[in-house]
Parts: sequence; structure tokens; C-alpha cells
Amino acid sequence: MSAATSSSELSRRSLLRGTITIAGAAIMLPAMGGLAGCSSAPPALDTHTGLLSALADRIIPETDTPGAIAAGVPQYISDVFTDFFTEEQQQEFVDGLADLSASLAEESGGDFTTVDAERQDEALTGFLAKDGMPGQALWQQVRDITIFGYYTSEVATQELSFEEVPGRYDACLPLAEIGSAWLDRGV
Amino acid sequence: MSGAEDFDVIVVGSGMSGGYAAKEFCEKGMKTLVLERGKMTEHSVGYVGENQNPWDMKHRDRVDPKLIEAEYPVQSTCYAFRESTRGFFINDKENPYSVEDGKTFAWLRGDQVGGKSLMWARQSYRWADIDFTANKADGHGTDWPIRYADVAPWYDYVEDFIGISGSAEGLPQLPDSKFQPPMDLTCVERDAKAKIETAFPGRKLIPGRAAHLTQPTDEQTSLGRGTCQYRNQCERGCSFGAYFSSVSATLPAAKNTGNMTLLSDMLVERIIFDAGTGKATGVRTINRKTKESKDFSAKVIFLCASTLGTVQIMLNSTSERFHNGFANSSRTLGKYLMDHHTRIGAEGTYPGFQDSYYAGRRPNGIYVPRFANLANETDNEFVRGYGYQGNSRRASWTRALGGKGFGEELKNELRQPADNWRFRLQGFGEMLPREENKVTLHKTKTDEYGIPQIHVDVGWSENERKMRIAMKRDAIAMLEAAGCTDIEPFEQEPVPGHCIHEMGGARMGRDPKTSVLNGFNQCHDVPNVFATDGSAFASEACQNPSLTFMALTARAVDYAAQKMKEGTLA
Repeated sequence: MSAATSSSELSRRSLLRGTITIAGAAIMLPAMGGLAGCSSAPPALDTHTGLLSALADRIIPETDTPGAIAAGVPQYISDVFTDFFTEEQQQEFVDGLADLSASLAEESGGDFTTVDAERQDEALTGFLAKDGMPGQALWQQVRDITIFGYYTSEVATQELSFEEVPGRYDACLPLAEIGSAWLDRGV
Repeated sequence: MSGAEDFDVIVVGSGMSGGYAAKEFCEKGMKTLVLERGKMTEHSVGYVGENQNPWDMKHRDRVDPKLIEAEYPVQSTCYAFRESTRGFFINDKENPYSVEDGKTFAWLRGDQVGGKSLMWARQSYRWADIDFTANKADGHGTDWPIRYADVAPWYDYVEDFIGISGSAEGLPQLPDSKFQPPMDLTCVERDAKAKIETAFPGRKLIPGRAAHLTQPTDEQTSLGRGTCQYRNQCERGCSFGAYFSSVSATLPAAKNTGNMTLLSDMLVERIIFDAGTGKATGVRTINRKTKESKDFSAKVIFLCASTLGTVQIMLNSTSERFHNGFANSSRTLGKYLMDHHTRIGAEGTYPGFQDSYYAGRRPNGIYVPRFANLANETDNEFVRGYGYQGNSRRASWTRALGGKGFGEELKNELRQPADNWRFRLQGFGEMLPREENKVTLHKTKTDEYGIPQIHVDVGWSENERKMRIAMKRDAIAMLEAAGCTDIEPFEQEPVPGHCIHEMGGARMGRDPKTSVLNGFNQCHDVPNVFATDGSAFASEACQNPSLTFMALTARAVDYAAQKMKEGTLA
């Protein structure tokens, strides 16, 4: 069955990955994020943490309730990147962030992370309005991880209706009695 | 036999069927050994994923995709597989099995005391007379040696103990259980019910019948079980004991008698057969932790190791007398394997009801009982039948995933549920018992204990294909009748096993030449060995089978205990 195939496939890839890392360490190549295939160290988010925080902040901003930053979304993105992504996915993510950073710099006429929130929103709107701008697939990924991370954080209980132990089931009642959407668990 | 056996009874497996066998034997005063291959799990303390909110889990209940690929490629296809339930699923890498080239089979398994009763979907439906007479009527498979009337009192009996919520409908094709109050239909489901039942006389839309306590009895309360709290996190285990599992209900009842010895991490390698007496004397086990081999003896053996688990043990229990597998003079052992076919139906937008919502997370849905071939007709495009499970809901924030928009506007929009309700019907169809759908032991591949791996060779037939056309067509028609818009039919190639309703392989029958078990789940060839899980089934109806596993188990125990008392069994 497929289990056997996939585990041997995985060992082969791990082995390959180990070999690359060992070879890379041996010749002491510096990490070169953004150049796929040439990095020696595992891809890292280091240089993009500012951009990720800025994006998360604009995707779910603080309003009368806390936003993505207060919900710890940047850390959540980092956890997904570190724990769940394969090295190939990490590299794609880092490459995409570099593309997105460049596109947003073009739109905002400067460093996206340092312009004010209004300019950031305008830049994102402009970026999304143009088909084929580099980094758009990555934007969708960051947007979705941010939404998922925010609404599965405890902060979201201030945003939507939540009953940890409902203790009741009312099959049909006025929406006004609840007032907002129920906080789904997400998975 | 000398009467010096270790136990009166050995029950192999502690899930849906094994738990019930243990309870019944123990309550009749029998010294009972329960052997479970998985780890020990105790009520409440063993529910490691319970009570965790998404933010309590680093990855919000998602499982590492790399771990899935390496160790859970099969188990992760189960709807209930998440980080909070992962410990209840078996590790695929450590528990290999083989599938015929070009075929698929998903063997979804529990790995603990309680088996799959911990993470089952709790849907509980009686079978009807049309189900027990289907094989005889259309000639597929062999006739069941029992009828609904034989099982009805045992349904009554187990339902009183288990607790089933549902509504009495008086339908001949889906007899009523002894119900606790149903979980109500949403306002949309009530509206759909009226419209569908008007458009299609004879069809019914009813609340799902589920093994949840909505009005516990004194017996249930005394076991520490309570009313459903509508958390809908059942598959992690429920400390309220509000849904039925063997860990919350049957095993505690068995334990209370003082007659049960429950051993976990014990693989049953084979049944030990005494050719001199023509009876089994016990089982040979392997301790999964120590790899130590040990024999246990008993007067009677109940196999409740799951459909494929039981068949694997029987196939592996060869001897001079039974060189093709235990109690297999009929040569039908391992054959006529079945599972329901699903992954088909339709969903649509339900107009109106924008001011309506619900409160509490209902761990249940709706059901449309079988309406095709209600007289076991054979002159239609296909034989047998199908039913639908479904639900209605208003999407919350997850509707934003994969979409557009960001910022304050998005955040504000997501404060309200989706403008429109969605309504969904998913079909579950009966598969015919066919000889070529079989499980054997692999000739060379073994597991780490040296036990031959099972090799599964199962596929769908023309009857299922034709039925699926009707299943999709009728789902769309019912949604149209309910006034749905944006109707989206769905259909994926079903993977056998994926429905986790495996049945057959050691079927019951009237004739020892064509069946393994008689009408009391007793081996025709070896009177002191019984199989009372899904392996015993000669056909599979279209209803979820667990309730019937338990009713037949209780019935078989009653019979075996009577014979033991008379001294005619052992």
C-alpha cells in the first residue's frame, strides 16, 4: 500500500536533505535566502519578520477589538513555517516573501513596513488589483494563515460568540439573540 | 477439558462488540478475560485531547503534514483525525497491510482499549426486515439465518443501556429504537422536511439517531454518564460520558462486577484448537511491549476484534484440521467483504431564514431513510438501497479562507454568520456481498511480530455504480424541491474501508457448507468460538452498523451462557 511507498520516499528525501546540509556546512556557504537551490542553511524567516507582522496587522487590524498582532499571529506563522513546512515549502515561502516585498515596495513607493497604515492598505489594494504581480500567491497564503491564526486564538473570543461548554442546543432561535457568528474551531 | 481453564470466557477486542460481550458475560457471573491489542485507555483520564481550545494547541488541532505523510497516510483520511484525536488512531507505519495492485482500501483502526467506539460518529439505526431478507430476495450472498423479529428484543435491550436520541417515526424500513428525546431540526431543516416530504411522498427527513444521552436513565447516571453538553468534540473522548463508548459504558459496567480481567497491549496471534475435542482451548498472545508470548485458556472464545481483525486471527489460526483458516470448512472465510459507499451527494444555498440561527454545537445531523426498493424489488436498475445523512448551517469565519479581502471591512463582515444557510445531503449506499471481495493473508509480508499481514482485494460492482447515479440524482432533486439555489453536486471515487463500516468475511448462514457462523454467531465447525463483530454479516444494509453489532453480541452471549449453563458448550 501507499504507506510503504511514502515512508521510503520520505527517507530518501531526508537522506538527500541531510547530504545537502552536510555538504553545505563543509564548504561553509553563507545562507542566501531568495536564491533557490543555493542556500546551505535551512531557509529562515529572519529578514522578513517585519513584513509578516505588517501584513498580519493589515489583514486583521486592531479595531474596537484586538487584531492579529495582539493575537500572536506572527508567532503562529513562524511556528507553521518551522514545524509544518518541508524545506522546499520553506524556500518557496521565503522566495515568495522576497517577491511580495519588492512588489509592495513598488506600490508603496518605499519600504512597505515603515509607511503608515493608510499607505499600506492602499499599496495592498493596488497590488491586488494588478494581475500577475509577483508575490500574489504568497499573499493569499499569508492572508489565509493570518485569518486562521487569528480566529483560532483566544483573542477571537472577544470578536465572535463563544461557549466552551454550551450545555444546551437550541436548533432555531433569532440571530439577534446571539448577536454575532459562532467562533468555529476551524478544523 | 479438565475445568482448569484460566477463564470462563476470553473476549478478543474491547470496542463496540468486545465491550458489550464483556459486560454481558461479567454480569452473568462469568470470569472474563478481555484482550485488547492497543494501549490502556481509562475513562476521562485517557482523553488527552479533551477540553483543549484551539489556542491551547500550538498548531490549533492541525496535524503536522510531514508526520501524516510518514506515519498516518491512511488514518489521516478519516474525518475525525486531528491532533486532539491522533492518539486514538493506529500508526500506519508500524501496522502495515497489503492491498491488491490497482485497488484501494483504507483500513482505519483504533489503537486503544475502547477501539473505534471512542471516535465513532455515533449514528445508530436499526435494521429492518428488508435488510435481513435482502440476500434471499435477490440472490446475492446467502440468506441470513435470522430475521428482524429475532433481533428486535435485543435492540430493545441494548438501546436501554446505550441511550439513543431520536424521533419515533413508525417507518417499516427503519424501525424505531427506544429513544431518548431527539436533537431538534434547525429552522431550515424543518422547512426542508416539509417541502421534501410534500414533493416526494414516502420520503422522510428526520433528526439523526445518535448514541447521545439527552435524558439519562438512572442506570446510565449510576455509571457516571450524563447529558450531552453540545460541545461536539466527541471524538476526543467525553468525560461527561454523554455519548456511548465502551470506555464510558460497557467496560465500567463489566468492571463493576469484579469478573473482568482487562489486559491491554495484547495481540492475539491465533486461536488454539484441540483436534481431540473439536474445540478451541484458548488463544496465543503476544505482549506488544515485551514481545513475550503467552497462552490463555477458556471455555468459550468471543472474537470481537473488528471485522478485519477477527478475520485475520481466524485466517492465521491454521491447524491440521483447518489448514485454510479457523473453522473454515466452508472455504468462505475472508470472502464477501463489504463497506458502504459514500462521498456522493449535493449541497446548496437555502434561501431565507437570515434572521435565524442556532446555539450549541449539535454533534449530530439529519437523516433521510432509505426510500428505494422498499420491497426488495429486483426489477429496477439496481437492487438494495441507500440513505442520506445531512445538515444545515451558516458558515462562520472559515468561509473567508481562500477568498479575497482584508482589513477592517473583512473583520466586520466576519462578525456575522454567512448571509445564507447551506443545506447538504450525503448518500450512504449498500454494497453487495460478492465472493471476489476478499481478505487473505499475505504470503510473505508480516508485521513486526511475525504475524502475516492482511491482503485486501475489494472493488465496487456495477450495482454500486448504478446506485450512485440515483444517489446523486435524488440528492439534487430533494435540494431542488426544498428550493435550494446554487446546487453543487459532489462525487468522489469511494475508497473501500473509508466509510469504516467494514462487514463480512466470516458470514452467518443457515448452511455450514456456505457460511462460517450460524444464527447465533457461533462457528459451525467449532461450537465454543463465536465472532460477533462486523465479520459476521452476510449483507450490510445501508444503515450505520454499530448498533446491530451490539444487539447481535448481546444475543450471542445470552445463547452461549445458556449453553454453558446446560453444559452443552463446554
